[in-house]
Amino acid sequence: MPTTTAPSTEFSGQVALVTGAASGIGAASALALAARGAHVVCADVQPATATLASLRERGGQGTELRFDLSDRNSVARALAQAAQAGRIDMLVAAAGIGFSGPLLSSDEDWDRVIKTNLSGTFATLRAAWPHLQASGQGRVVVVTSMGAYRGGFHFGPEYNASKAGLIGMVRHFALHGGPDGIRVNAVAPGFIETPFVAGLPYDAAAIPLGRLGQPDDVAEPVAFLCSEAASYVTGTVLHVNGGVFYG
Amino acid sequence: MSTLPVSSNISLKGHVAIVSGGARGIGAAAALALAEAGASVAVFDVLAATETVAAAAARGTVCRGWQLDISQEEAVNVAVAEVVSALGPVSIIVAAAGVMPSGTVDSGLAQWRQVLSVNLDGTRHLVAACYPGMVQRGDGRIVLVTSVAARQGGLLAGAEYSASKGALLSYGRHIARNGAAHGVRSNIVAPGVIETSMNAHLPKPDPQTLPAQRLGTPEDVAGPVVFLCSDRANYITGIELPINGGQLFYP
Repeated sequence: MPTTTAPSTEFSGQVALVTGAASGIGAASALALAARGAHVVCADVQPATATLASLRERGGQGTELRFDLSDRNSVARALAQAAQAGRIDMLVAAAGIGFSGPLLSSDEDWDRVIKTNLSGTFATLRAAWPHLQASGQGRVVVVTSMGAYRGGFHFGPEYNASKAGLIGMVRHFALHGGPDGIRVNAVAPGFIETPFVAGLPYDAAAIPLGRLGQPDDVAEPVAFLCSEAASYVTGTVLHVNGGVFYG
Repeated sequence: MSTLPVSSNISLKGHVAIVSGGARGIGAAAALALAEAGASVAVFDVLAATETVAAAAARGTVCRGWQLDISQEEAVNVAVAEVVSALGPVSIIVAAAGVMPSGTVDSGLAQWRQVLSVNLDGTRHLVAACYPGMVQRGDGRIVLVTSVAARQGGLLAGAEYSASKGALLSYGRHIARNGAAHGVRSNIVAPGVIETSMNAHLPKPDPQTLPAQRLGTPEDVAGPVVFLCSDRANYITGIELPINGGQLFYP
């Protein structure tokens, strides 16, 4: 489990659906929630075998779910399958894609990223929503990006546009989810060392806290936003970037 | 002070924390939550912290009180030196001391100066007294308590209250920017409408108009404060975390 997480039972009896759970921030979030007693449904287009193995090794509970975020039908089918776990109390939407390209992206690149990151995450949230309502304590954390605020150099404009779009979606669902006891927040990571950004250059010296971020650096704030300690926090974006940008 | 703030199994053992304004309200809840997480807690307040000290004792934890006017630099310096000698070097500051008199755009210069001297100068005195030690040891966690009024002004409190909270936001970010290289993190929590004795006399919004469908409690703020002080927030500095039940969505 993440080094900063002491095992606890605060999410015992609850089910968390984590998308993008095969690697990076999604995998670390799955482990952080499992360390707190949640049953974690690990959803990804890739096999989440490694995540599930470390989760079980450490006494956690989880199941695997294969889905393709870029395909609404696949998302709907997967969510129906996830609901067989009986309930969904938490949704951590970490799945997403991005790639570098020319400043003036092609229609194909633009459409593909928007369809996957923005439309796919909406489809996930839409399918999970009735279960979050039924939970009575539903929590959603969407992983966006510092790039939604600042633009970026590693991915095309469609990536940051998709992440900014997600923030608008978070606000909308936070506004309407409140009466059902659902809290909806976002985290906006800076540069985090994951397979997603492997090989991309980033100067650690430019980060005030002096190092690149690690998946656990984001997973802990994700778990915090899911916790009762954040019970009066909704509709916000929690920046996790080592002091590069304050929001 | 009845509800136990949820600290999610966070350990702050070995840390010494000073909480200003810890005799009641948000400061008291933060002090209790930090003590619950294992920190040695010193409460600074112009009032006697009797209730906080007793509540901590009832939970099997320890908070110690220092009664002083935080707007007086010399008094703060003396008290910080006493804390260091009694509990050890200070690694955590939660600046929750503040006053919020009613007023308008112009509530007179006397009130302007009084509010800024407590809310802004007082926080400065506390940070100034502790910051060099934090830098020296390479470990500081500072949380400043501001308000949604820093973002959207206020209607009941005077302009000096909003101005003081806006200034604290900038001040906290200045500390973050300069402290990062020295292991000092500084963050801001911005509560919305939290029911405390400070605003007991003021009208409140209808809870049904807030997404959370309720007004906040001091414990609602204490949980995030403990998180930001903990290692779990090691990659977070300079941020402003709104705790307002959805009253205003930002940043």
